[in-house]
Amino acid sequence: MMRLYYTLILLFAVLAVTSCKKFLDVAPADRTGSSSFWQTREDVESAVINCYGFVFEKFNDFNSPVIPAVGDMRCGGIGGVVGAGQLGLGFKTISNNDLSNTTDLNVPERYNLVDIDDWAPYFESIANCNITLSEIEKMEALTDDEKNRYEAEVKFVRAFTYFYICRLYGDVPFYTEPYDKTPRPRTSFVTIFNTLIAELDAVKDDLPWTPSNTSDLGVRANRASIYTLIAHLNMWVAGFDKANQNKYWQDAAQKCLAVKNSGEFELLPLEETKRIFKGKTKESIFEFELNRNYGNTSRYVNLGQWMTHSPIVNYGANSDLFFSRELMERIYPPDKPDKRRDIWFYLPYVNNQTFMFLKQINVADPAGDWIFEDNLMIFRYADVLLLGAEAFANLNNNTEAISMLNMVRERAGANLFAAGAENLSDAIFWERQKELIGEGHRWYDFVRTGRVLDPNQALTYLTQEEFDRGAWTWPIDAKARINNPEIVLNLYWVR
Amino acid sequence: MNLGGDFYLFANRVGLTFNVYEKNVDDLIYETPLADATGFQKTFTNDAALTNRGLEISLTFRPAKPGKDFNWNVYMNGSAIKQIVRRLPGEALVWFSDGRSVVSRVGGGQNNYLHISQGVFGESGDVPVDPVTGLALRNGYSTSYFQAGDMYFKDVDGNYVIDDNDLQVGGSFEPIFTGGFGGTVMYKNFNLTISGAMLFDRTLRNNALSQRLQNYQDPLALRDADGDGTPDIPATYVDISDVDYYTLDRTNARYPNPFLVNTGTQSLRDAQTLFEEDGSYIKFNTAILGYNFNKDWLDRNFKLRNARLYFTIKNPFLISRYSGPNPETVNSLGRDYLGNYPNTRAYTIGANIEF
Repeated sequence: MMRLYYTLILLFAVLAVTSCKKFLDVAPADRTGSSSFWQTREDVESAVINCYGFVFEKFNDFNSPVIPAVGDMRCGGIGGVVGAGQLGLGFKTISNNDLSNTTDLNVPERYNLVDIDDWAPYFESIANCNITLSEIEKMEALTDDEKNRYEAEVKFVRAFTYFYICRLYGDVPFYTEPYDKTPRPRTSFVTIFNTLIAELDAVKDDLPWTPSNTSDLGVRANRASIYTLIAHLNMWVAGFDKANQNKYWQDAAQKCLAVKNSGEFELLPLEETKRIFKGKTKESIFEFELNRNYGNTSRYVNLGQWMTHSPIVNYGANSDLFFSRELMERIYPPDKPDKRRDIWFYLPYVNNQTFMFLKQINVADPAGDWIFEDNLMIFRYADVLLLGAEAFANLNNNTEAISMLNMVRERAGANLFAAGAENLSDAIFWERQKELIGEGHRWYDFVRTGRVLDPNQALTYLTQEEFDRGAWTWPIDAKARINNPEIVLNLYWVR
Repeated sequence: MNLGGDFYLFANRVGLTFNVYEKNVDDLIYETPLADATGFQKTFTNDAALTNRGLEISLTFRPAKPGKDFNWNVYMNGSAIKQIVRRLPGEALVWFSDGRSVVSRVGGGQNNYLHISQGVFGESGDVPVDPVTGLALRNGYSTSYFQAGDMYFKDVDGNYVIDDNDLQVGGSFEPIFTGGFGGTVMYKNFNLTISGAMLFDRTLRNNALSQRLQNYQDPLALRDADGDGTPDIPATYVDISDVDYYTLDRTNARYPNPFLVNTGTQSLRDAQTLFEEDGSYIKFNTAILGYNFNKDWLDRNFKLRNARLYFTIKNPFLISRYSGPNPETVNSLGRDYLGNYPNTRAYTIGANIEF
């Protein structure tokens, strides 16, 4: 009997030892678990690419036309089918800055304009970047150099996301650590931007000016993307933190000058508009790629959806929306030569629906549906030059400012800057309006320069009192307060 | 903590077992939703705790002295339980779940969270009007103004808008007392067995009724008949002529007008005190009356070993004030649904014969 016990105990011991073998650790064949991911360089590569995807998803057609709606339509001057129940009513509501009128804003429902107030998707992007950064740090399969490059890229995406939402909502909660569950209050965007500027400054030279793979041109962050973002962060915060304006302007000016002096970027002839906006050119600084062959097409990332008709798209002789003559005359004075007006518009001053906006017209199938394959331009070389010109002009370095301004004007076939006849600061501001129309910059330029307060410049203008109460911000969805009592909504928009 | 006892008295004719306990449950795992700015939707935490205080009691009783021809015994058992939430995740004092329809409070238990119904508006002139804006009471910040035939929900925050801020703590759907009872009487060859169940102090939401009425408001909509949260089948139109609902010649009705279409007032919403009802009941599950034939007599005349005739009634009756079909067939949150099947009453007559 005793023998039997010993045998059993021995047998059990043998089984117990052998069961520690690896055959129990089976990796699922169809999923990526967190333990099997973050092993190789390829894992990091795909995770970094994924970081861009989160924020792009918010901008494309599954959500709302955030970029054209806020960046351009909010400046006013929108005409067309904007009556009750018509498909432009929501845009008209935005162009009147009547954002708490959610009934009109929600027409038509498919544009989801009321969801622009939902900041959660941007924070998913931020949370994803935070996790990716912490994992890259732990990777053993990467050299230090590779780690630095990937971290710089992810930090760019995170900073860009904060840059975008701070311009949209004002102050936001600031999360930089992975898996941070704390309900945080909104941090002043001046603080956030200063933190981001310092963070990007530390990594700005870890990426090359242009990627080794030309198919990554503009669509993956490069050194110029980071420099440009730092410049934009500075220029925005300079408009609010006026005590330190000079410091911000100087930083922005230096960054733009460095992009120019790199010699890697150029302005393409305006006749090649289609190529410029298809993207991945020498003019691209940062953009999101749209290509039907890759399965990411979007209708709502540019104005072409509403401001084109046949023969650009198969849609009769009328666009849905047009820029009013008043707006067009403010931006492009009819008596001045400008190839941008001549190439980018059809009947620019007609003030009716026969108008067309022809900046982004890479249409996949002109006989069929609206599927635009123009990349979603975020930063372009012309933008960098004009931003630099603005910073230099603010610092009274007019020589460099005029040189940068004239580079853009020369390409556009416009009259070069005439000292004495024009005010340099006004000239640069309106040059940005001319050059960047339809690219989601105009409203933010009005806000940060304070020109939104001047009815002679801004069609949709704000009074100083409205501005101070936050009328330049976008309303925040009240659900942001769920589980986070620290959040105070944008009070201007709270009834 | 636990205290119990067993007692048998009077030659085992009375038996009593009881158990008083207090059970603390710590480190309860809760799915905790997160603020949207964290980038995540939820996490799991184990910082909730609750206490169950209860009394379990079981009583057996033989009213008559056990004898050869006559035996009678009765039993009853029950359990009273009170659940007290001691701690909620993140030191929260209140916790909403199930789409803000259930509220848990520290120091209390779980309750319905709903709008308070104050009666049906007899005429549109009765609807309160905000003296500042001149707007009548409405549902949400919308143009859905209340009118005659709508429910007058309590506007708790006094802003003339009925919304989530007006939700209040309602009844508890956890029964305080549940138990069973039964007994057997044997007299000569007859025997009678009865068993039943009872439940006291529980608030039900009669959503079977609210849905029955709602179906008339939007005849083409798909309905969530099984209560799983997704609409699945077209509505069924159960006769509502027995319901005291508002019509032009019955303006002091208990229930709102189900034929007010094209209105967003949601007067027939499920989550309102109008549909809260007392779910206490005493229910007889089965009653069996049997007759056993005399074994000697069977053996002598028929060469049979055993024979028995019986008559069974399942669900003979139910004592309850609940107006719905059955206070038993509700879900764990005490909600009745239109798709619930009622219990059937069944009569069986049978015979057992052993050769």
